Amino acid sequence: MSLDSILLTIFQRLHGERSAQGVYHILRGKRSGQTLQDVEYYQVKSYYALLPQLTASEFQQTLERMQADGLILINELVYVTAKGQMATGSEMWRFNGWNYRGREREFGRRLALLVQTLSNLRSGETMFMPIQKELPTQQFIKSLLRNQLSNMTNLSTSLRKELEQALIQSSLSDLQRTIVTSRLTGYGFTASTWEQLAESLNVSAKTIQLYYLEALHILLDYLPQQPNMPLLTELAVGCRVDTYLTQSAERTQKLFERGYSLEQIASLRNLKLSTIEDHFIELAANMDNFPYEEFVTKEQMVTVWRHVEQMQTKRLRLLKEQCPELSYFQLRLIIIMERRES
Amino acid sequence: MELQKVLHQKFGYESFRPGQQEVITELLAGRDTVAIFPTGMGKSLCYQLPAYMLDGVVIIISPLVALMEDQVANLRKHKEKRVVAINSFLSRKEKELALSTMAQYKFIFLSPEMMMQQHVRQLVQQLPIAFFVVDEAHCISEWGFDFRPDYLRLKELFSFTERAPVLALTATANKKVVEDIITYLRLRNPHIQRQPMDRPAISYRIVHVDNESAKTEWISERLATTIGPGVIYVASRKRADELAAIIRQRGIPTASYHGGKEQDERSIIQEQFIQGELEWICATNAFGMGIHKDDIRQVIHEHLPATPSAYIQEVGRAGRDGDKAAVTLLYSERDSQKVKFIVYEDLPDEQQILYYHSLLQSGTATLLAAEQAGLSEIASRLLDYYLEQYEVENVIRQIQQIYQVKEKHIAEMESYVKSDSCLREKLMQFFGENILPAETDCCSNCQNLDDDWLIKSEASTKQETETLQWHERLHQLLG
Repeated sequence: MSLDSILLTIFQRLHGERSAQGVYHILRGKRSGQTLQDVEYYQVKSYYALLPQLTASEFQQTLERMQADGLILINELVYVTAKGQMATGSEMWRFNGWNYRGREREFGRRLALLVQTLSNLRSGETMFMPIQKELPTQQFIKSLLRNQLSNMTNLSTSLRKELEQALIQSSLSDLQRTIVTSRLTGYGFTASTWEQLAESLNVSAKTIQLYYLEALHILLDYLPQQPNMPLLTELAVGCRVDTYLTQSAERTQKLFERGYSLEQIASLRNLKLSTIEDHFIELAANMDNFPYEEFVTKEQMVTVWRHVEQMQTKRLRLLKEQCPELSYFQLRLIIIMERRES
Repeated sequence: MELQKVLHQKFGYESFRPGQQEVITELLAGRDTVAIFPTGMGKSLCYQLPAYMLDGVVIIISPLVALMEDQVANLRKHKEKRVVAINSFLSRKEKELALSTMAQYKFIFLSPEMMMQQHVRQLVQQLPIAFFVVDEAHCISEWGFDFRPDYLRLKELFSFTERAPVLALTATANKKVVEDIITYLRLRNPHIQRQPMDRPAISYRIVHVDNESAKTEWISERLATTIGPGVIYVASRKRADELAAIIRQRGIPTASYHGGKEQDERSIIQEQFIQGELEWICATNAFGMGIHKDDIRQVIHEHLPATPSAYIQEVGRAGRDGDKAAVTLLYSERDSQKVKFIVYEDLPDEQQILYYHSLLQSGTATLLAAEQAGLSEIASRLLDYYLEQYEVENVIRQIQQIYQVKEKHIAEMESYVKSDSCLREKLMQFFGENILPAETDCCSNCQNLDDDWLIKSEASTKQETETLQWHERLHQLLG
């Protein structure tokens, strides 16, 4: 498993209908109408914002190498070759990028600092250099500890019990349990770097980082159902996105709820109509009970869905040729609704 | 006496290190002071202690964020909560919060750029200030010209008749640099406290080799037979990674360290080194600031540092515990060419300056003009600063002066590696200090090195730490 396999999975879901740039935006978590629509259309939400730090050159180099290896074919759009399909592997990633969007890393930082702090305090060491330098993380842990009633040794044991249980029950792989615990520092023990883990586990450093990321997602997905894990639950506060809408789309939503039309909202907000349309697509993808009947009829929807099925494509230009009476906006809406209905 | 009491109560020390008491006394008497202390010889205490004896806040102007964060962490480690760092890494909200609550802090760290922002300056000037500290004050003279024009603007802050005293701190400053510091910071009849640069614990070595692969070979052999903990300074990130991998293959716990690594990775590597889990670090010059490790036994340079002060700072990280330490500079003929290339790359020549100037005159945007004139970001920032206050002919002369200074530094380093006489004596002369060669353990030219203490005993090598199962590790960490 590696970045290759993630890219191959995404490219396959997009079956040759998007450019490499589109995938780059997905992985970086770009908050634009197009990208948000893409993840919805092609069911790749779990990869959204997975690698917010990915650089364009890193991405480009990976693609070039994959093309040289014959895994993909780039001809404006990206196609996965038969060899690439074989190489995708059967192991499924269990990411949940859509819900965490990079904030899972803050959970990892908090965990590391809390473990280091309790480990030192329980050993009677009150002076140590925090392994996490970010001030917000330090402040978070400080206030967490200030609000605790039990003594530090008990707290330390509680944290160990919670962690142990979470690591066992949350369907992590054994390798991931090792990786997660190896990234913890404490009294007498220092975490291992990615490079060191790669050497001792005989897996590439990049892959280990992806496993770690996935482990954070799995742990964060697991915690909400656990009433008996107060410390870990506290560490996870704010790591899950609470609003899936962009701020701008939210403003559009408010105006729409007050009864304004698309055109009115565009002129009120002094934005292009196409931008407002993007917002509506975003709303349709994220709201329960989106009133789609205000924009398209049931018959229109059924017709388009049939075309999608027959032609095995979601490319708007091709669908537009079949249904010239519908606007692009309507087509996009219908495709989004298909996902939601199913 | 009261100073001693505070020293013991607040910092847990029994006595002052040389020079500290003099600086503190002068500062408490309200006098501007320049303190030149070799790396690791207790500079920070010179402002931390008097802060507790005076009312009001201490404003510390510090050029590097990493350095600032380190000082803040250190104060917090000593249970000081009233400390804040305000720099460009704060979000707007954090910055506003910090600025609006400034009065409740005892120690306020600011970058020079932040300090010189109009509204920040106004806020600072309303505070009851005990004294100012300018950390790494040599930057005014050495990098100030190239990189940090705002350091030079600090004079605006210190020109007022009525102002709190200023403490300028630096690890390296020759006479010329001290003069620059006094002039640019507008210091008034300052007390100058200079602690000797020479560190008797350190012995110096130069090894001449033919080429790069001979360096790798020498290092491999050296590390197999002599003790750490140690640091190897290299010229590039790539080389740091490459060399660390080679050494690791020999079974010696080693990691690379440079600015290209994530913050988390750098923290882990530092901690492992401090805890003794790593024996060697292969690093670029990004390593060192804020490393509090007293028992570094060796520092090896694989490239030629660009200035004697950079070199003395880096070797100064060895032997802080006062025990013996060995430093080695590996040199091959092409090294001075390499360092010249790196250093001069950023400096604009006369034609570039004239062209850039004419582009600006004709209304071309700064960014575009810089690109067309082929200027690096640093070079254009530098020129912008000078063009703002001087005629273009004068700017050319200024740049030529900088060029000459850099050339002189490299020439000094060249003369150091090629010297036949005592290396310690030679190095100290660059800082205006005349010393005599040490009787024993001086340098490779004095030929009085006794390296028995350096030899690695068989027992100390190869102690495999068993890897723990994940749940065992959790138990060990948290009980």
